[in-house]
This record gives sequence, structure tokens and C-alpha cells, in this order.
Amino acid sequence: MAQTAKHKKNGVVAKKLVGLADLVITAAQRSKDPTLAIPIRALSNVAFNERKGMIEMGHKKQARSFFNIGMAKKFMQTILVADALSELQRAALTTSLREIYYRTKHTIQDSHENTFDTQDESDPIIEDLEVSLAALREELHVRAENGGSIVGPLVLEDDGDRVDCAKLGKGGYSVPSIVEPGYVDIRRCTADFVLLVEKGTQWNRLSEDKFWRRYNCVLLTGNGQPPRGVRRLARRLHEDYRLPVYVLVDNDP
Amino acid sequence: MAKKAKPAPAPEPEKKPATRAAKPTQTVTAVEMGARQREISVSEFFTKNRHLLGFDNPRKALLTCVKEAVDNALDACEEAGLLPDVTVALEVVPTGGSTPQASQATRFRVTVTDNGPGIVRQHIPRIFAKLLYGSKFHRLRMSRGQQGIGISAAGMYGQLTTGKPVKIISRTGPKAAAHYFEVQIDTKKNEPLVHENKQIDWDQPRGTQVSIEVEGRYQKGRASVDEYLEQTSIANPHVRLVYKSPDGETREFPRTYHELPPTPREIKPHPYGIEFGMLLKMLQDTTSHSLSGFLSSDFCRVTPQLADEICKTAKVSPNVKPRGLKGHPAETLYQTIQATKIMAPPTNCLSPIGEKAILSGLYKQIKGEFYTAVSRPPAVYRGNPFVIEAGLAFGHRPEDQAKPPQPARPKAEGEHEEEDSELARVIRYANRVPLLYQQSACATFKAVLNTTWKNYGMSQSRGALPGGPMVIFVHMASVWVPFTSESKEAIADYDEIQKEITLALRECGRRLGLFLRRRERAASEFRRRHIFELYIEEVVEACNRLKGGKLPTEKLKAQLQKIASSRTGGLKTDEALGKTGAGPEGLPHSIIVTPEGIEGDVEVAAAVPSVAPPTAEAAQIEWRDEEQPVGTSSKRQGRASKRRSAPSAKRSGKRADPSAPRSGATSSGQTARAAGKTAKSGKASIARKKK
Ligand SMILES: Nc1ncnc2c1ncn2[C@@H]1O[C@H](COP(=O)(O)OP(=O)(O)OP(=O)(O)O)[C@@H](O)[C@H]1O
Ligand SMILES: [Mg+2]
Repeated sequence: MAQTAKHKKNGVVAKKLVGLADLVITAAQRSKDPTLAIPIRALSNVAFNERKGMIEMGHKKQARSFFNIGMAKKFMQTILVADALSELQRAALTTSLREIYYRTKHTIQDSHENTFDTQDESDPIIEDLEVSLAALREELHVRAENGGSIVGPLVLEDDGDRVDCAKLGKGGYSVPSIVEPGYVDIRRCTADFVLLVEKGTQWNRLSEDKFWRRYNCVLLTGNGQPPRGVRRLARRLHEDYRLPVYVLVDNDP
Repeated sequence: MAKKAKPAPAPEPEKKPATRAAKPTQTVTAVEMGARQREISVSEFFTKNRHLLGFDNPRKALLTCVKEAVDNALDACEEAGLLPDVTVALEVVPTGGSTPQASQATRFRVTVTDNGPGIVRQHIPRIFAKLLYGSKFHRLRMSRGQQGIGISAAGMYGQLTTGKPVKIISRTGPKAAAHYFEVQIDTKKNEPLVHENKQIDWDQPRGTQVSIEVEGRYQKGRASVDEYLEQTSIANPHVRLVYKSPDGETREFPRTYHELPPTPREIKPHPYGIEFGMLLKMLQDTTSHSLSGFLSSDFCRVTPQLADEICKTAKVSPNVKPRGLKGHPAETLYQTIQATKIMAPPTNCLSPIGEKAILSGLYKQIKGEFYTAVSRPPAVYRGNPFVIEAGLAFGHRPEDQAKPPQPARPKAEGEHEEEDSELARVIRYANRVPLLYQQSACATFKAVLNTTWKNYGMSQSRGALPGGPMVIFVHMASVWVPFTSESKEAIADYDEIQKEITLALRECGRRLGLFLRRRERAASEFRRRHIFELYIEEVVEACNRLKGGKLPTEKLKAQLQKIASSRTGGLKTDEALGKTGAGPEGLPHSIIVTPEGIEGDVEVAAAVPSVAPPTAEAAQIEWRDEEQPVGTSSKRQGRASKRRSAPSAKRSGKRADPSAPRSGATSSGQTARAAGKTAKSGKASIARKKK
């Protein structure tokens, strides 16, 4: 069932990506400047939704036009990335941010210019697409690097494998970047709370000491700035199992 | 610049120097002094004061000789209604048995030949061997020569330094005989001595040839014979000049303007232009019997009614005999005339060069990319009508190596090469004659300095000439050009003149600024368009892949390119510099040279033979597109799209083969390997995976 939901969702995302090409084609037919509306991912466009308890993006959008010299390159890059993402959709495969960068980078014909010079250029474009197509990165088949670990009284299902996080020694389970239902399902969780530890070494220490057993909690770390999978997992545990999430940080800004 | 004293009265300026010289000695009595008093002939005077006539040093003397002869030739041809064809030959004269190199030589033979009306036999000796003899002094009309000194002074200088007579050949028409003369000047009497006079065979049907042997020095560069001829050619594009330099080179300055300047009319003096003493003299000399008749017939712009009115206001009878008017009443008359409103003098006494001809001259002689010319309407200073004309040649012409080296190597270029501090160069003219000395004393130069060139996009430091590759042309045409000194080297700074020069320069500057701004804008629009075009390729291909390879890509490309073009000034960018042939909008009387050809006053430019047809250049300049994007014509676009379509076809075959939808993707490991294989194309592609 999860599988079908996943596929359905994929169909929608794939359509949305092809929709970008349609946008260009329609605008060209009407002699209009092809323009994308991209929600602004800046502090000025986020607000805390008290009811949902979430930081939500506002409705402010930014136009990205092809025939504006300041935006032309980004526009072109956006379409290139959309093309690459669309291929992933069709092939039903996932790839990394870095892979997308290499996939779309090349020298523009008749020039000495590259489509992308660094990954710093392509990563934000992917984020742009996420927000403007209202799709999660995972739904775009892009995964972040695995960068987190979890240990504690909880059982997950990953690609049909049952993973009991209480039986994985001090190393724990490596949190994949995509933890959406269908990719990773939480089968059981008996912990009282989640302790999200900022520093990996700290987490190691607590894990070795079996801190989680003593306090009946889930120990989670993102090795510094937590990657998306870790953040999503913490949120799911909070939302689905109503676990409070405590965070251990050094508060060093 | 040669001449001397402009009012140069009769040969009697003698007393002053003589008395002054005799005064101080105590031992001399008045009687002894009186015994030493002697008349000085004008020739004796100028033998001693030859610097007044432009013979102060050997280099300048050589130039002055050429200049006097050429000026005369041009005056004569124009007066006779003939398009001038003038040959100037400078030959090194052997000294001490050997012929030195031109740069080392001290003696030259200057020979100037024209196709003018020739000179009647009887006049030849006095024209060439008597100072103050000529046809131009006693009239109010624009001409190069004025005093009747020029050529005889050159001959006298030759005689003084080499002892050789002036040799003349002249013929008044194909049916007349050619006369050969050798004349010298008797400086004591200021009278000609004829050494030789015979009829000869001459291959020319008509014209005059003067040959003078002089001590001189030949050196190129500033104020050289070469520069004088080049500048003459600029201001006189109706003249064909052939120059045989002392190095043995022959250089032709072709005729690029095939109309003679309109013949200037002779005018009577304008009442505002005369001084009181002059009025008194005219009152004495007139043939009129009544004052009002005198006023209306001896001056221009005074009608009989106006003459009566003046008499009434001055409280003198209009019927009074002019000769009888003296003293106080005459003074009142003078003041009344000056206070009366009188129409400005007629201007048909002037023959300005004209905007087209200036353009033609500048274009021919100076390599640039922008030319413009302005003729001001006539104005008046001290009762003398005058016209100011200004022109500009700016920039470096896009070089094309295909062109054979030009026989006439333009001066401006050489000049720029010698000077690394690239300041504008001012070329000055009075009645079409280049002024080569005393630049900083000249009203024209001051006006150039006082113009704020920064307003027109040029750099300029305080009190300096504007910077940049630019030649500024200023010409004053007048029946009487007010020179600061007798040597006719700089124009005096009258307010009226200064104002006119400034207005003309401002208009030139304004057009230059417009050109520079437009070029800049067109260039940036073109850069933008170029960027869009590059990205369009990418976007169209990506869209095609998104649409499963079923997109009519050429159509989408064309549509997007159309938008790109209209967003980057569209046709305006293409035409920013005008292709209409009538001059780009807002830039009348201008020529613009682009890598693709000439725009603006194309006819004028086309008349100049040294320009290769634009098509010959087109193939050469492909690589220049990015740097020289002005005037992106449809021609260019055609080329550009052709150039682009071939590679893109190649690429679409390589990258997006529609028959084999490359929809595959792999795990990152496979991709990395695939990337390695295709790395030569600079992009990692995702290998296909069979399902
Ligand atoms: N090449 C020529 N062909 C025909 N006439 C000539 C030629 N050269 C000189 N003349 C006549 O000889 C006269 C004297 O010439 P000259 O150069 O001595 O004085 P100018 O030209 O009148 O005045 P300036 O002293 O200012 O040059 C001229 O006025 C002209 O009438
Ligand atoms: Mg003369």
C-alpha cells in the first residue's frame, strides 16, 4: 500500500517536472518571457504556525525569468536540473545532490562557460524546485548523504528488513536520507523520549554507556548539523509517537 | 603663416628704425644724422626680418616655400573654376659634390606645379620677384593669399640662401605658348631682374610651375611639409595632391570631393567693420557726389533709405559732398553708423568647406570609427562675416589585414603611435590653410580646452586637451581672418569667434557622446543577447528531453530567440548605428565605421577610394563579434545562426537520440563509471539500465 502511494506521488512529481517544459513552450508561443514563481526561502518568508507547531513557509514568491540577464542563468540551470530529476523519476532511481551536479554540469556550446561551476550552484536549484513544485526532496529522488545514527528501543522496517535498533551494538542504525513512510517505516517504539545529540562523539559516548537503556529513550545524532533524514525521523517520532524531543547541544552559534 | 605685416602699407616703413638707431651717440650731429637718412626698400626690410615671413629656421623655411606656392596654386585654380591638381616635388640639391640623404641635406629644390589658369607673361617677373605685388590685397573676399608677398618672399629667401633665381613655367591655355622665366629680385629697389625668358615646349596644356632652390631642412613629424600637405588634403578634399618627397617616395592625396567650393563673392566693407580713420579715407576716395550715395554704394547692407536715416540722425545733409565732411560732423556720422541697426554682411563672400567635404577629408586622411562635421551659420565680428566649421574623427578603425598597405599612410595614426599619452590632436585652419604653429595662442585651441569633453564621454584633465584617439578639426573662413601676429599662425581671440567655435565643438561633442553611448548600449545589448542565445540552446534541449524528445526544437528555439532579440533592444540594437544611409538618427553629417562597413554619410565615404568594400571585410571579422558588437545587422544574425545550427545538430545526435530514449539512470556507482567513460564531453551522463 505504501508502495502504491509512493508511485502515485511519483507520477505527480514527474508531471510537475514536465510542466516546467510546458511553461517554457507556452510562454514562447505567446512571445512571453518564461517565468517561474519560486517561493522565497528566506527568514522574511517563514512564520511559526502555533497551531501546527511548525515553522511554515509564507506565500511570498520570487519570479525567475529567462529573459532577465540577472536570472537567465539560474533559469537555464533550473530547467537543466528539472530535466535531470525527470530522468530519475522515469527510471525510478534515487541519486545524490552531488550526482545531480555532475549530471547537469557541462560546457555550454560555443562558449567557455559551464552550466554549473560548483555544487553550490546546483544544490539551491534543487531546493528551489522542491519548494516550487511542493515536492519533498525524497519525492524528487534526491537523497542527502547518510549522516546520522540512531539507537534505542525502536523497530524499523527498511526495504523489507526488520531493524531492531536495540540490537545494533554501540554503532546503531545509520539513518538514511529518505525516511518517508514506504522507505522507512516505524514498526514499534517504546521509548519515553528522543534525545537528539548534536555531536557525534557525544552520542558515541552515550551509546557506549547504554544511556538509552537506563532512561528508555531513543538516542539520535546528526553528526553536527543534522541531515534531513535525521530531522525527518525526529519529527516523525515526535508526531507519530508523541515523544518529546530533547536536544543536547553546546549552544555555540 | 609666412606673411608679414598685414596692413603692410607702401614701401615706407623706414623712418622709425633709422632715427631710433641714430639717436644715442653723443658725437653725432643732427647734420651728420640727416646725411645718414635713407629709404629702405621693403625687400631690404624683409631680408633682415625674414622671420616675419616664416623663414626663421631652415625647417620652417622649407615648409613656408611649399606653403606659399601651394596656397597660390589652389587660389588660382579655384578662382579660375578648375579642380586643382597640384604636384609638390622636393629634391635634395647636391652640395660639395655629393648628394646627402634627405634628413642630412641642407639644400632643396621646391617645385610646385598646378593646372591653374596660368599667368600672363608680363606679370610673371613682378609676381615672383617683387614684394607686395598681387591681385588679392585690394578686395574683400575669402582667399588663402592676401598680401602679395608670399611667393616673391619665398623666391627672395632662396636667392639669399642659395643665390639661385626662381624658375617659372607658365601657360595660359593649350593654344598659348609656355613661357620659361628665371627671375631674381633686386632687393634695393624691390624690382624684378629677369635672367632668362624664353618660350619652351611644355607637356601641360595650362598651368604654372614654380621652382625655387632654398636652404632648408627636411624632417617629418609636427609642422613638417608632410603634415602641411596632409592637413591641406583634409580641408580641401576637392584637391588632388601628388607629393614627391625628398626620400624619393611619391604619395598621392586623392581627390575625394568632386565639386569646387562655390566661388566666394567680393563684398564691400560693412559699416561696423571700419575704423574712424578708414571712414575719413573712404570719404576722400569715394566717387559718389552725395553723402547718402556714398553710404549706400561704398558699403554693403546700407540701402538708400537707411543712408538717409543715418544722415538724419547724424544731423548732416544727405546731399553734402562726402569730401567736405570732416572733423566733428564726421565723427558724429561715424558714431551714428555704429549705433544704427544694420543687417549683417552678406555671406556669399565666404566659401566654407561644408560638412560633407569635411567629412570626406577627415575620412580620407584619418583612420577612425566615428566622424562628424558641423558648419555654423555665418556670424560677424567687427563687421567681418565669418563661418566656423568643426569636425571630429574619433577612434581606431577596426583593422583589416586583408587590405594592401595604403599608399597614403594617414598621419593621425602615425602620430598616435609616437605619442603614448594619447591626447586629442587639434588641426586648425584659416581659409582652408592649415595653421601649424603657435597652437596655444590660437582661439580655436582655447575653445577646445574650454569645452567640457567629459560631458561627451571623453576624459579630460583640467586645462588640457581631451584624452583619447581623436582629431579635432576647426576651420575659420572669413574675408579677414584676424591673426594674432603677422606670421598668420594663430587666430585672435574675439568673443564672437570664440563663441562660434565653442558652439561648433559642442555640437560635435554632443554627437560623439551620442555615438559613444549608443555604441556602449548596443554592445551591452548584444552581449546580453549573446548570453540569452547560449542559454536558449540549453533550455530547448532540456525541454525536449523533458518532453520525451518529441519537441519541435527549431520552432521553440526560433520563438525564444525572437523574444531574446526583442528584449535586447530588438531592431534598435541592430540599427542603433543606423543603416538608413541618411545618417544614424540624431547624428547628421556623420560617418560610422564598423567592422561590417560604413554607416551614415555613406556616399561621402564611398567616394574615398582607399576603403575596401564592406563585404571583403565581413569574412575577416567573425572572431570580433564579441568585442565589436555594434550594429548587429541581420547579416550578422544570419551568420550567427548558421554557425550555430551545425554544431547543435551534431550535439543533439550525440546527446539526445530520440529513437533511444535515454531514460536510464543507475546507482551512483554505475553512474560514476559511466561518467568516467563520457568524461571527455565534460558531463557525466547516466547510463541506461535495462529493466
Ligand atoms: N600659380 C599661380 N597661378 C596664377 N596666378 C598666380 C599663381 N601664383 C601667384 N599668382 C598671382 O600672383 C599674385 C601674387 O602672389 P603672392 O603669393 O606673392 O601674393 P598673394 O597670394 O596675393 O598674397 P600672400 O602674400 O598672402 O600669399 C597672386 O595674387 C596671384 O594673382
Ligand atoms: Mg600667395
